[in-house]
Amino acid sequence: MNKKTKTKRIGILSVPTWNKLQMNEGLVKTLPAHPENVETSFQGLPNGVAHFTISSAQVETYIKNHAPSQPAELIVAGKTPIHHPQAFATGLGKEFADYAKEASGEDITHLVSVEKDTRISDPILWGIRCENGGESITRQLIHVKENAEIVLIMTAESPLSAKGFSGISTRIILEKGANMILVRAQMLGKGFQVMDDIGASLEEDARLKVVHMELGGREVFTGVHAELIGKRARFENRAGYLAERDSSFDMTVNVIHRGKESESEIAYDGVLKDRARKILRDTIDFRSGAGKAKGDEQENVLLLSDDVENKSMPVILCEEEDMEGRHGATIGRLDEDMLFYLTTRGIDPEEAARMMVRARLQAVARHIPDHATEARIYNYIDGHAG
Amino acid sequence: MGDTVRDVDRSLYDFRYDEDDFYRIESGLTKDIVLRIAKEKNDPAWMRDFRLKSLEIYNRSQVPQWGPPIDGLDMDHIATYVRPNTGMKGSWDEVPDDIKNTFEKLGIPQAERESLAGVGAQYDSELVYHNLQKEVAEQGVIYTDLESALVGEYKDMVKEHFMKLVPPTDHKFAALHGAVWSGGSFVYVPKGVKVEIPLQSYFRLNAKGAGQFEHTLIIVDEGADLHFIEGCSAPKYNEANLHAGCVELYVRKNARLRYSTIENWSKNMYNLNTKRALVEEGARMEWISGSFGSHTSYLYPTTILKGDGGHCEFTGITFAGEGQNLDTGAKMIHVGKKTSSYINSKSISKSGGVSTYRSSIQIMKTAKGAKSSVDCASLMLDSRSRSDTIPAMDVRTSDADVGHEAKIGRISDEAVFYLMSRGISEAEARAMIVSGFASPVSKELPLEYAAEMNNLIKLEMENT
Repeated sequence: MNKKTKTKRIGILSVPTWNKLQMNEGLVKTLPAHPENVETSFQGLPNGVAHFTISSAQVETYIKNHAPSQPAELIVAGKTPIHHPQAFATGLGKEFADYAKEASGEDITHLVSVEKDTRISDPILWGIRCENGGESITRQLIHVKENAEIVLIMTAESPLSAKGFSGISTRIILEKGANMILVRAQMLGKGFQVMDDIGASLEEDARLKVVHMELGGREVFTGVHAELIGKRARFENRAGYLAERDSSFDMTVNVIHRGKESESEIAYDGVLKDRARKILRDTIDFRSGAGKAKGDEQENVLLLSDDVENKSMPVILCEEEDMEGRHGATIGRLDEDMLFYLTTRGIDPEEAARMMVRARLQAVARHIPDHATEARIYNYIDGHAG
Repeated sequence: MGDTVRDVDRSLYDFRYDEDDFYRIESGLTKDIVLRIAKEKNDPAWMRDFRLKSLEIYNRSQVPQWGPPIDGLDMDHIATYVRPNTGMKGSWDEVPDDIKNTFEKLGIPQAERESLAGVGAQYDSELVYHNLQKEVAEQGVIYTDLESALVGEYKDMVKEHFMKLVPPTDHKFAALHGAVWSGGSFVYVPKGVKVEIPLQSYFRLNAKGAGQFEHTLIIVDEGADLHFIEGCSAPKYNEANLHAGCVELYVRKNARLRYSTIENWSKNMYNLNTKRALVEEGARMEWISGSFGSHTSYLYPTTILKGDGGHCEFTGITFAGEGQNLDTGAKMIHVGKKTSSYINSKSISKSGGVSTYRSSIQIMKTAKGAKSSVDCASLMLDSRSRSDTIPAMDVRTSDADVGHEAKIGRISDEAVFYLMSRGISEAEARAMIVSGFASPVSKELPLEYAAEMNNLIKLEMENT
């Protein structure tokens, strides 16, 4: 594998804390120098949905013309200036965005545009199949126009033992009243390096629900940045992950509340096994003017081995008086009472543990509005949850 | 709805006296200054060398990049040592009038008469008064200034523990403390001794453009029990003052220590204080912390739960008003088996104040059966202010239970409406709600100090 060796900062905490904790940013030492662009062909896109390929320069112009203003800025958090270097922010940040732009041989971004008032209730499926040793990258810009609705399910799969690289960069513009469900189901081999980067801006009454299932991978970075610009914009992020063996999962979520009565709900449920390491940085940031905004972060982590490492960094930033921000986290092992109950009914402890892992991830997978995808996720969990 | 909760009333603290006849070292931080402090204080050789080593560490350390800005702090304009025109006395009658008046106004001699087992009073860089009740002294309790302890009967104990929990390498201002520390207290409570009523040290920084660097070292031996109260204040000046004290607490097997602080530095103060406790098997540490003053604060009492079954509770409140940026919280490091910790933190921001709750919970691999729970709540009283919550959790064993709850919000309109429907005015209703919000801290304090805290919050109403 042709690797770049310069360390990149990927997924940066919105306000830094003690350096000794090593939680301020994700660091990735190697990335493939020349991953291939993923060929994408949709079969029978519904009426009102169009697919083009455009260059990076065209993407910048497109965002400038269509996305609500989101300039690079100096954020004053705790009165500590933090430079926000992206014109259209994404969860993994500028260094990954620059890499994604430069590394792929062809300067291609897939533009998926959903016309005004188009309501597509059937999911549009976008599957990426990777082979052992495969290194792929894909960039998308999704523009859902006024009052349009779309469900997009992106799956990334490979043979279970495969190694490789998968990079996905997705930017989403949701106009007034637009509604989108985006599903990311990552079922790659346990040797994969995975980068999944999402940035979204939401105008008035727009709604975005991101359902993340991160099940495979050796080194996994995910990032979501949502700008709730319009009044009553709503963002929901449901995520489930299974980190096992020697894997490391590094996840970042930033939600910026700018619009009045905007709402966000972030829920991460995960399982750590073997020698897995995980960090979640989730930030809800209430900006001045976001009156009556509400934000809620919840995290549940199930620890199944004494050799795991779990780091959690739930941040709430607030410069608006009239809002409600909450965070809750529960980190621990299997509930002993439940285990005892199951064993008294003849279920051995290992099977009981498997059941509870499956139940935890199932609770997230149920948010996927496609039974076939859901079934493939359960197959993957059953093959690895033991 | 109008803003009806006023800033902390500081008139009680904003009086000052001249420094006539005081010895004041010139501003800045050099090897020569450090050596002169060592000479002034008759340091033993090891301490002089320790100061110089700390200065080297200070010079090569970086200013923290993660907290509130401290650009307004210029060490070239800070005098690190100001000695009042008196030695340490054992009777208030012997303390010079202006200094005595200061502590009278702060209510210290009265509190000593009524509710304390011993008092230490520091004015600028030196203790001016120290006294311990005879009955407590007869139990073998040692409570003295640190300088005396450094050369007296307990000198080996001091050397063994001084800046071992907070080494000068910990951060830049710990190194600064190591270089220029002066004043503070040494407490030793022998095995099995329970000190029924609290000891108190009060730190007053009167000098303009100066720093206070007192060091508090407390050892509560096996099975012993102590409540120690720390108070601090300063008059307001237009130039920066600095407080970089250090508190090291050793809580031996099955001992208990409660450490209460009411901090009310003036709003030109950079409060970069470091507090740390080491808790051994079956021991219990309790922090009660009220942060009201300072221009900028970095304050995170840290507890290392080393022994099996050790327990720590932190109860804190921070009130950030106009011009204040208070970054406070706590750190818990679980090392021993079945250790437990609980953090209950409240913060209030108003009139453009910035309040940040920052914490870390670390559960080490060895801490099987550890439990930790964090509950933090922040109240925003207007939209000119800021309130941030930055907690970190690092868990390295599956055999642990860690829970965290955080809430940020405003005073509920429904609650105000409910109280008003019972005939209470809006201003009164808002004040009652804020007072109730702060009550988890005030109820943990002795009555006199709870009253002082309520006085500090001073819930005065507009239009009443």
